Amino acid sequence: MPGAGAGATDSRPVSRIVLGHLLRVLLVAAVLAASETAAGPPAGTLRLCADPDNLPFSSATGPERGFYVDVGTLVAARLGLTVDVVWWRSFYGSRAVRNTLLADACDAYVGLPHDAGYMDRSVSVSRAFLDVGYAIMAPASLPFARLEDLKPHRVAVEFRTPPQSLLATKEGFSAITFRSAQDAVEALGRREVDAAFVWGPVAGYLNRTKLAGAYRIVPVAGEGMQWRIGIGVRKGDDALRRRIDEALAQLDPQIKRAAEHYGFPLATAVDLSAAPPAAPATAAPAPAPMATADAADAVAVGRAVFNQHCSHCHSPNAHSPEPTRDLRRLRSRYGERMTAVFYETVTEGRTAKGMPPWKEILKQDDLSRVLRFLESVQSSP
Amino acid sequence: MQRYARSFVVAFAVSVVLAVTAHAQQGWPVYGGDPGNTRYSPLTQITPGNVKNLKVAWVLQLGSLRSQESTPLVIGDTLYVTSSHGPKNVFAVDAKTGVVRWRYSPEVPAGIDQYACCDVNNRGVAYANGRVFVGRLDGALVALDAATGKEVWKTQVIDHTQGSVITSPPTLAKNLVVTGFGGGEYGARGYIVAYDQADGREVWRFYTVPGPGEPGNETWKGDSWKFGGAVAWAIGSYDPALNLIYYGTSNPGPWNAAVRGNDSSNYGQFTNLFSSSTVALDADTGKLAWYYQSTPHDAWDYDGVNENVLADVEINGQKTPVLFKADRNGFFYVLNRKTGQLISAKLFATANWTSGMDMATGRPIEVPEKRPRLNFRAKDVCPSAIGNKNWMPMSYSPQTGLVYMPTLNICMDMNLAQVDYKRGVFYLGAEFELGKWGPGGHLGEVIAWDPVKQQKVWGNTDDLPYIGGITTTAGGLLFHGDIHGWFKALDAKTGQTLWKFMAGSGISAAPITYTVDGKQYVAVVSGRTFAIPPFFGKMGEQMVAASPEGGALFVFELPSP
Repeated sequence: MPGAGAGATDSRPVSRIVLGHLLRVLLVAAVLAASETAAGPPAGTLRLCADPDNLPFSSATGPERGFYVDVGTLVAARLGLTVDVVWWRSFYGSRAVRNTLLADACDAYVGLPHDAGYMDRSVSVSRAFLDVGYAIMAPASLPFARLEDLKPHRVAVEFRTPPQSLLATKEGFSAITFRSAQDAVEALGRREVDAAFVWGPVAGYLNRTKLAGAYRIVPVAGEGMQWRIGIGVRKGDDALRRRIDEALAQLDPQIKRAAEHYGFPLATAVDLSAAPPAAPATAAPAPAPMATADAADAVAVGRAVFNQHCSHCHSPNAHSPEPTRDLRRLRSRYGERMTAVFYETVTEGRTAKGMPPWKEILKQDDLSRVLRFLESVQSSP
Repeated sequence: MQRYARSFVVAFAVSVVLAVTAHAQQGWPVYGGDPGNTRYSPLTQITPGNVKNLKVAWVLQLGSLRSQESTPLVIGDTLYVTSSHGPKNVFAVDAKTGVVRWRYSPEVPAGIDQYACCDVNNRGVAYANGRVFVGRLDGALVALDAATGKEVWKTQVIDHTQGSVITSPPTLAKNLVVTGFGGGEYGARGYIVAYDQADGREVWRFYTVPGPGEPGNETWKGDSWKFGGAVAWAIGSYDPALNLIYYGTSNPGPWNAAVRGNDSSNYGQFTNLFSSSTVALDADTGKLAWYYQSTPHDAWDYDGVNENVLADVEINGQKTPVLFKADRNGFFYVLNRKTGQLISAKLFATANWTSGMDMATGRPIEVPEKRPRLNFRAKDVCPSAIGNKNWMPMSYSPQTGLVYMPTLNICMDMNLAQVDYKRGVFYLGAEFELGKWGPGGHLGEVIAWDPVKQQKVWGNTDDLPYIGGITTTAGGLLFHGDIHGWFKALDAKTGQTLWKFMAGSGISAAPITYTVDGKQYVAVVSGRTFAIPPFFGKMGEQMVAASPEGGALFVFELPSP
């Protein structure tokens, strides 16, 4: 779990490393610019680390280079840089960040979890640019509104995943375990199973490329099911991270198009454990807009602001496992004083506990939206 | 004291001794010194009186760095030793001079270390009838011509891209070469497989997780048996008289026990056989003769892979064929190796997940709040996931009647991770803290243990964990290394250090001793571990700081008179 110090150090030093990095980029740019006659955009390189064999996310052999490489290329273009992909084969992601990004083999790693607990002593992750997670993939002929609706059916799950754990800990499900999402989806294609509860991007990609889009894919909400992903840089490269943040903020439509190209399910995740929601009965396409794009909704904007500025210590979506940082307890803790305590704490900070004052950083409008978001997630007493 | 007189050298060890003394040569024919893994040598030239005079005879640079775990073999006047990383190199050298006779350097796929859970180790080779057998990280088993180092045959045991690698030498029985592999964490369904030494043809295969319709399959919830782990990644033993092969098996997969059973100390039928067990297999057929499970429905990563040491000792006045196992879970087990019957079990180091052994059921009595569960963090659980003893081998000296163990004194906080692999999104760790100091402040201890009385005789504590493997001699000596790089000779009776040598890089591997032309040598591989430190936070940093990376074989001798 992140220590109190982790959040504090994040906002502190713009270190020499950053300056070193900028210097390097500028030098490269200067050298390249000098060698070119035209006064084009500053040329330079953003070294991007990626797995050579990990479609739909990245591939060294093409023709598709994968979503992460596409996103990295979009960001680099926005920054006036060209992408140099440094390929590093990884297995369960083990050691990959340590051996690449942290060894200065590259500048950025696309697809790291936007989560306060993720390598927060060594890696700094940009704003989240996409929600990815587990999803249920089934033919339109198998309607479901709740998880319970899948009980009579054979449901493929992946080894070592939350869906496997979820179905194993509930009575009455017929889960069939596969080593990978690909194996599970292929079994679905062969009708050896009736549905697959697997990693959504892989399901969507295979649905698009191998199964003619014949299946409906519904992202599922719940603990451990959905993840926000960003672009990681070395801790200390905060200037680069801020530039990436700015670029990402302007690239939402392009990123969404890239995600759609790879067939990622982009609909808002559905809570299947609750009472039946409006059944999403229609077939595949028509993905709902990404949550962050819904600017009209103050709660959604508040959530986005929260996840960008507050989640580092208070966890994405305020789902903190640490009671003292769990802002879903504000109401039960402070009752009618909740609003007052919120404004006082956020504007003035609680520096002794590692909470910085935000009055110079967040606009009043944003604060009120964050409050609206927090009000929407208060736990029942 | 009966412990000196009443122990018996196992029959095959005697025969090995008789066979070679005629040539005034005492080699080191197999990883464990003998097929029963006693790591006891009958050699007596080096004694507590003269060991202080040991000096370096020669050194072989292994050509790779870190995590050296190899036990060399000595056959005739040739010494065979492997490096880490593939192995990157297998050497055949003149056992008197270290002059290289051949080197085998297989092409190992790039990025192989991504697939090895616990670094790029190799523990050595096996030898029979002019062939050297090498298990490789890429899941291949090869037979080399012992005279030239050329490949005679190669077979694929397992697909390494599933996270299954081979790190240990195979076990030999009659005309067979038998191996397991690693990957209990990554969804392997374990098996132990036998090939014909002559041509690599598969002869039998025993799945350590029973399939549908087989006895034991009912111990797995749902279809969890399909990726149940229970891999045999460490060292096997062989008893030629009983014609039984013994292997320890790893933890079950996945770590999340809720998938495999009811995630509780009251695990009922869901024991997850044959994980965290010892299995005894008929060497001709691979059929299960018996099994003994040390940690039912494991939730701690208490692999039961620790080597089984075969000995014949007097139990209640009767000479009994037993096996000793110092388990990761903290129990020192004595089993009848013919029947699998539990004779005794006692905790040999700090373990608090259990309050003791229920001798009626043969199962540990659990302390429920020390069982990590889904969404329940068990705190200050001892031992940690790497156990009270890891792979570093122990030794049994029939001369003293004692077992000498490299032990660990580390505890942990742990809960079972629900979330693990998400393609394209990285693993979120922080589910456990493996490296907490055990009581007393020391992290390792060499323990001399009376296996019949089940009690400690002496102990030497160490500031850091990962004391190297242990070898004893009829000269009354015990040899072992440590992570600082010290290589030591101890008085086996008292534990007193009689001599030590700074090898420059940490030692995990176990030493050997042999004679060529009537002269006794002692040899050990140095090269500090990197298998465990990445999991251990601050403790891991201290382990890494203890000595630099390395990779060298040191051979010692007494000065000529």
